Amino acid sequence: MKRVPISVLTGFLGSGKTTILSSLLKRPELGRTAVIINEFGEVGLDHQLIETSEEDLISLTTGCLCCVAQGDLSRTVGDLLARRRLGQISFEQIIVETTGLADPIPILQSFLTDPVLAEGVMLKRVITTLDAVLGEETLKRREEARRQAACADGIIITKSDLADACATEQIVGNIHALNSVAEVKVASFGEIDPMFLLSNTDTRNRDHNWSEHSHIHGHTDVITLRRSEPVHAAALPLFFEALAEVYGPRLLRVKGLVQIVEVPDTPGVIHGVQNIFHPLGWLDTWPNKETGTSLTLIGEDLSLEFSDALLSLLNEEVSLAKELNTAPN
Amino acid sequence: MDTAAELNRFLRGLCAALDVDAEVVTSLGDLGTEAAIYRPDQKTIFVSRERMDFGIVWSISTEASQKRRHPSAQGAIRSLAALLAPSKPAGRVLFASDRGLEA
Repeated sequence: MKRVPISVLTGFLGSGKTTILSSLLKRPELGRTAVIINEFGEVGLDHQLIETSEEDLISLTTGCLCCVAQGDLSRTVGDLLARRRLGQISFEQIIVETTGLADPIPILQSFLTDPVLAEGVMLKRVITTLDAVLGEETLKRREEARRQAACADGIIITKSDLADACATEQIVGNIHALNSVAEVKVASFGEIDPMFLLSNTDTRNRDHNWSEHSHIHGHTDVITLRRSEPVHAAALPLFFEALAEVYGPRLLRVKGLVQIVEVPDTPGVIHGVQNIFHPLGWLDTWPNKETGTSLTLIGEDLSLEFSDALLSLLNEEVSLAKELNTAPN
Repeated sequence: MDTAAELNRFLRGLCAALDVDAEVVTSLGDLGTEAAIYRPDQKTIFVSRERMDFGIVWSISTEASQKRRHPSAQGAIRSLAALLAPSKPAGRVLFASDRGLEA
């Protein structure tokens, strides 16, 4: 059965997640959406603040998904999928709104490792909200907020109507430095284009064609490795193993598209969260007809030199091994 | 990656990634590239990466230890990490079940 796309909406406490979600769910593009809201405390509030059409389904989990309640997410999704299979309910996508203090990494990992989630859903996008007024200060002070922003595919700047234009411009610039591959949108009075939540992530929509590194806010690094020549498939698991070996828990996320020597016309999709990697997936066509490899590494205290040289070196070793294996005796 | 400059870049990057203060000096040898990693505690690590008939071989040694040979960069990295930053936590990669990633 085709897996259901699932998007994760994160953002620090008070950053406007619920307002954005509430606004989005009124749009026809997000009809037939199942929403899972994760709240601290036994009595939830956020779900009562969301007005939805009758087509939307709201489920509530309590306890933080990133620590004690991962099983709760699995059960909730499993229940939704089972009822969908039985024809009791109908939805086309799922949105999970996390608590403001949630670390997104364990939640993303559970999509890869939990049997129910791995089989039933596919991660579409991670969206993080950031307050235009307090966001800068929150990023400086709160590790959770930095991890939420660093792991995001898209970042929504909220409350821009309360901040002056310069402050909004400044925070957008700072986010690009923190996570250069995230798409950033400024919401106006809680309104945002629904496609921001639904579109596929293409981390390669940059002008550059070389590896790069950005570093700001504590120790969070974003490294993008680019190759115009295809990479050997066998080099990739070796590369991930070496990254995990050296970076350990400091590696937060690895994502991107790869061009494989063995199948250069089919884009390979890389998706890893900390030390857990999904097997290579495939797209039908190259986005914007641009071939090549673009891998983004997000983590703490990462080295561009090491990561870039490692990929080249492993690719060369695999290439040589293949050459020797195929050489006549 | 046959040049001394590339090996230097890789080893400098590895030291940075492991948060180890060290100076890396590389040169071209008869069979491949050679490097010495000088640490502030005066312990030096010697690295060579040579192309043999059957593939690449990495050799790692210190003044006090015998040469360890590795047939891949992975083994060399593990060996170097153990020498450079023995207390640094290392990770092990896990591959999720093979269900294919739709996008």
